[in-house]
Amino acid sequence: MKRLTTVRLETPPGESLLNITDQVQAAVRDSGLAEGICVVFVPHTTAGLIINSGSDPATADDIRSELRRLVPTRVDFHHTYDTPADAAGHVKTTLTGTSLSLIVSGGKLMLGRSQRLMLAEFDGPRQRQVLVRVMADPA
Amino acid sequence: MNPMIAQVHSLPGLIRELVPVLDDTVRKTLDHELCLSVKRLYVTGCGDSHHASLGSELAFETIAGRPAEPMSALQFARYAAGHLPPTGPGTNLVIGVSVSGEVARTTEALRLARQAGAGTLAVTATTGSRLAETAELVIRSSTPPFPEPPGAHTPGVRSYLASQLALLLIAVRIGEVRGHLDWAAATARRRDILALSEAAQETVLACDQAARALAEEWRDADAFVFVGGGPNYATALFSAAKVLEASGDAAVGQDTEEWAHLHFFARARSTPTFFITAGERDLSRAIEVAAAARTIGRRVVAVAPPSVAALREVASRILPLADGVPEMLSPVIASIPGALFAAYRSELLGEPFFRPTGDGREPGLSRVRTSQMWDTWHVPLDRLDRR
Repeated sequence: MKRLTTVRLETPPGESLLNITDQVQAAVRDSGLAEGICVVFVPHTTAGLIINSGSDPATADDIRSELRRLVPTRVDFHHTYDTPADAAGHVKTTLTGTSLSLIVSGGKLMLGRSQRLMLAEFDGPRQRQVLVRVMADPA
Repeated sequence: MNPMIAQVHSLPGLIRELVPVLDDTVRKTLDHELCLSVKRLYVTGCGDSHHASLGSELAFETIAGRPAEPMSALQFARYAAGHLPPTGPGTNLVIGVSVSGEVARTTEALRLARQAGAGTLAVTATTGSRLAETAELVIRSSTPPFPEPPGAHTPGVRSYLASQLALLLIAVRIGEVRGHLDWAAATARRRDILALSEAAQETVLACDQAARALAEEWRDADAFVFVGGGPNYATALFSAAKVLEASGDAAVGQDTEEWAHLHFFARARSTPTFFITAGERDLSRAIEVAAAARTIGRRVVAVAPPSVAALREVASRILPLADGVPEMLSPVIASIPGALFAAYRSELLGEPFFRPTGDGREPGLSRVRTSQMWDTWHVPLDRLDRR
């Protein structure tokens, strides 16, 4: 069983929500896991992971807008080594988190009908990695 | 090998050493508010620092996305500081460059800039200097100690590079924080600046013996003209400055277009004339002017990358620059051939740097540090010291 897969992505400039459901599902399928847990993790500090609706692209726009309202890009961040967008991205990433645990059954992710797994990019363009680790249920 | 040649040979390693340190300093010094507020930059200094300022204009405008006005410290202090656009706090940023931090005119420029409400930033190797004390912010641009004979006073080569790199990294910082460059573009620009190390190494290797041979071949000459456009007008001025300092010969730096308007008419026919170009925006004019220079009998040197074949065909001698360096960064490597030529000429003539002591040029006579300084822009002309 291939237990760890790295998905590599090139993100667009600025903020974006990228649907990575198919890549993660493919990693689970290629691992041969039938029943167990899939942990998805991004090893970054200005990009996170969320699950939300993929039915209407406007939902992603709303999520991005609300995160920007909560954490506006401003000039009085304490972290000034990089850019204001980077500093805001660190805070937004804390809100979204950087890992998710998903149930796998019958070799598939047990997502709701409209649920999609999304990488939240807060300071693109960047080269990002998504680590997918599978763990089988005890025999 | 005299210490000036040794300094030039040390430049590739110095770039590798300085870029990470300066980048870290620049990031920690220029906060978001400053970078986002600035609408225009003024970059000022004297001598080599003025040349570094001139050479940074294209980089500031391209990388930082802000208009930049380089000017000599006298021009800024006495003719510009009182006329800055009144566009609000933090919108005008004046960068004063001085290695020693003690020159009077640049200190005066920052003093008057501050009175005018501009933000002030010193780029200096000397913390605690007058310039550093005058500015609100300081970027320390010092270079690691370099072994030289005791008492040696060598024309500045390493210090010039440090000033150039600091200004380039300031441009990247402002451009990135303002969003003019995204993270990937800013990272690429920083890599380009670090990669100047390899380009400098290639240029030193390609030019070292060629510059020495040229110094020997044209030993008879007693005047030299260096010609450049855009950022390499600064290189032309710097190269002429190195000849003046190293061998003491008459040397002039000239803008490419201005050469055609002025030096074309000089009586001396065979004056060695160095045409410096990165092969971009000034290239077509450099080729035309170099061809004219060759036709009227000038000894023409092309200081250009190998890809600039048309200029190299016009020239009688070539001092090659590394290929692939963007014009806005090219002054960093384009300054190498002229510095090597000056250093070898000094060695061949046995001429000490900065002329021997005791010939009447007592230290301090030129008063670059002790010159009368204005305390305020509003100096009644009848109260000026007219000695």
